[in-house]
Amino acid sequence: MLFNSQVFITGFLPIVLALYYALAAHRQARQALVVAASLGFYAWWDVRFVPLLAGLTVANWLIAVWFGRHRARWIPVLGVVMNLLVLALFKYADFLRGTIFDLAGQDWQPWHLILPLGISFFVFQKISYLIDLRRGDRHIYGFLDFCMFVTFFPQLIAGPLVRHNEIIHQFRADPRGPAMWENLSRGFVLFVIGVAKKVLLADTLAMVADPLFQQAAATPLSAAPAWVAVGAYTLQIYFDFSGYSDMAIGLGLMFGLRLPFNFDSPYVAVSVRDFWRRWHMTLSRFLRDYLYIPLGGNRCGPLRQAANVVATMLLGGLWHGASWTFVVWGGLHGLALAVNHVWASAGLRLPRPLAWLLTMLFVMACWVLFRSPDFSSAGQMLAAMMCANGIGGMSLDREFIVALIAGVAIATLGPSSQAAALHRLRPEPWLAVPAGLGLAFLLLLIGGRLPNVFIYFQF
Amino acid sequence: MSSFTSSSDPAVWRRFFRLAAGLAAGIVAVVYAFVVLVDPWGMLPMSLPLDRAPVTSNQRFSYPALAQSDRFDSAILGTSTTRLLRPMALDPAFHARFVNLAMNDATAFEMSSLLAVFNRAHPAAKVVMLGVDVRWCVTGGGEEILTPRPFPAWMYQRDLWPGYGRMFNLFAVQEAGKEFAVLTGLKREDMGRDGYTSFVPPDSEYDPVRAMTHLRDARPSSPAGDRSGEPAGWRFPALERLRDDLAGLQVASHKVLFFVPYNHRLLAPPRSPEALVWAECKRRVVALARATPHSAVVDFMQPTPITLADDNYWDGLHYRVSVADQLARDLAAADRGETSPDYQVLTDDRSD
Repeated sequence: MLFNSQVFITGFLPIVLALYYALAAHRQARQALVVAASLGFYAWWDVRFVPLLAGLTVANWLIAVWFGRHRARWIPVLGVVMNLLVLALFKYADFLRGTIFDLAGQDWQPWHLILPLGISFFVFQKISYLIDLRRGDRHIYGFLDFCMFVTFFPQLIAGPLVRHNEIIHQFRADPRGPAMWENLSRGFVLFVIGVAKKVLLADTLAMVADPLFQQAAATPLSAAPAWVAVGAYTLQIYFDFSGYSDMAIGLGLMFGLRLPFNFDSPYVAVSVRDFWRRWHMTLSRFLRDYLYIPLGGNRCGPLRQAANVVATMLLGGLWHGASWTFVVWGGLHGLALAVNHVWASAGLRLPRPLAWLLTMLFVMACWVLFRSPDFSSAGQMLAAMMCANGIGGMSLDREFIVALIAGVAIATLGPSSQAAALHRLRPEPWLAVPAGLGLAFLLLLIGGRLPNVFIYFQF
Repeated sequence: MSSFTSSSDPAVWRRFFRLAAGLAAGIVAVVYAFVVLVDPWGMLPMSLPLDRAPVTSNQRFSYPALAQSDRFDSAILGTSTTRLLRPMALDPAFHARFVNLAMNDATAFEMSSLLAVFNRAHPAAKVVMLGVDVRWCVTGGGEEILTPRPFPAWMYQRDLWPGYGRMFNLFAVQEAGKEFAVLTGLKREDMGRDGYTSFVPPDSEYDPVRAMTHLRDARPSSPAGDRSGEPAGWRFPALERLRDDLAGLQVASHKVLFFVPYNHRLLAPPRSPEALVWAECKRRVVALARATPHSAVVDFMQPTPITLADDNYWDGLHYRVSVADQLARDLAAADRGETSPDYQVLTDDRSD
């Protein structure tokens, strides 16, 4: 069940929300409801995934309780290893086997294990808790608190990567406090903004980007369509992912819970370091706190620091997907971050517009690698962007052009979603009306767009 | 961690939330109720008994209701190469009440699905005609099941209740609006209630120069798919479906399969690889018909006075309205056992 689906918006969410507030006075009951609803939400995708999610949740809680009693520092390590093994098995087994067999020059058959949805997110979430325990955090949570922390459906599938110490304490508060209506309102508006980003912008842009990337893998593209494809994808991935995050944060708020922000206008960044402070912020801080800093961070010499950041970003790339294209994508960003650091340390500065342009060109070139199925396709697309096949041209339909212009304007000039919904929003009726109308229209759009008219007989 | 600027008056926020959420819920409810009550395709289980007309130009949406209608006892199916046959021209010749269910660019799967709907509603159908073209002669595993045109699968199932979950989208709202406008007289009907709608200009506007620009590009039609080995060993997946379709029809129903009259530029040159495929396909169709009581196969897809005259066509596939009427007369003549240079009867079983 997607957040941007009719069944979720008109069925699942209102029912769960109504029951949640009906049970609000009883903490255990409302939490049990959220856990049950979250498992149901997860089972809707594929019921076969539920035992893994539930089993891993119980196992991690038992490890935490065990550690709470004995305080042996190897116990959380055991838990981390267990989580990493599960992730490696389900997400990386074929990738690792393929790499080994390919290096050995042997044929191999992939296992094709089903990848449980959101496994990268909920495994990292548990790992961060276990590492915090080992570092001295003394929070051993109750079973229901822990289950709700892990399974809470707004953040279960694609984050934000919420830390235990920024949400579990919120479970205590009765959601019917004085801020209830404000939370519901701001959450509602942020959710609508997220749906609009996804349905109006990301999906529209994808209708052009997807076929062009497919075409590029098969036949050479000229420069114009290549730039259109990469530009469209650059906006698509931002509005898709940040839209999802907006929906998740908005939903959390409707339940009276504040989730961390995940995006802060990343396409206004004027350096790669600035970009990673604004893009998928909860992953960036996870990588920083649980990889980069333990590796030595910037507490060592420049060369080691550069190696640390590259290694961190290589693993960050691998986290995005079991493919070498993701690893190289991460590695390129790691290298850019290292260069960025040297540049800044030397006190060098570029004019702001030029810095922004270079950052965007780098980010876009890297998105080609991120989007392409293999290095060959990525190379063809990059070559096409550099006019290897001529400049060419292409006609674009009006819907796409509107989405492209709106996307560029919102991504570079507009306020971030959270600024709009959580800071600037005022409880004025003239703002409530477009929010309500917008959701109704988006629901219609989710149901299906108007199909292209087939010009069947052109006389 | 997020934090936000809080306005402390809960009552104001309550009004805001109620207005926003209430408005969304209200609009959704009203729009959904409108679409469901109008039911633009007349296929919902609890559809109001309104005098609906077909309004959706994608026949995949508008024809299931016609296929169910008790105003007809006979049907003609096919693609756009069959759409121009007027039921009114066929009715007197066959003493039947025809509905034209031919759909633009229909796949064999889509035609079979529509025939199944017709057959469920008309277990004692009088005549079932099928225009056989390239869609039925694909070989190997290359059969296209659906086209890029939307296909509302729920309308073709026995259980139509899932249709209530398919009614809240922009397209359904648009079509409900059109149907409502037709029902209230605000819009004139632009599609025939017997399925017939001419999609070519009237013959009085025939422009041979423009037609020739299309005909000039016409190339011999070649059914898609893998073909290895002897023709007798080739697999024709669409014809396997046709075999099941014919078996599902009542024995007494008259079945007419006719190869449509492609313009001569689309006909495969003798002894070419394409000719081999078409010949094998025709042989298989004849074999199917011979195994099916009350069935005939008529072949218009050969050099004839119709197909050899370029000015009978708008393009390689689509003939003029006058040719369509001639075709109807020819089908009736073939059914009476008459011969004509326009066609060849490949098999005809009239036994009771």
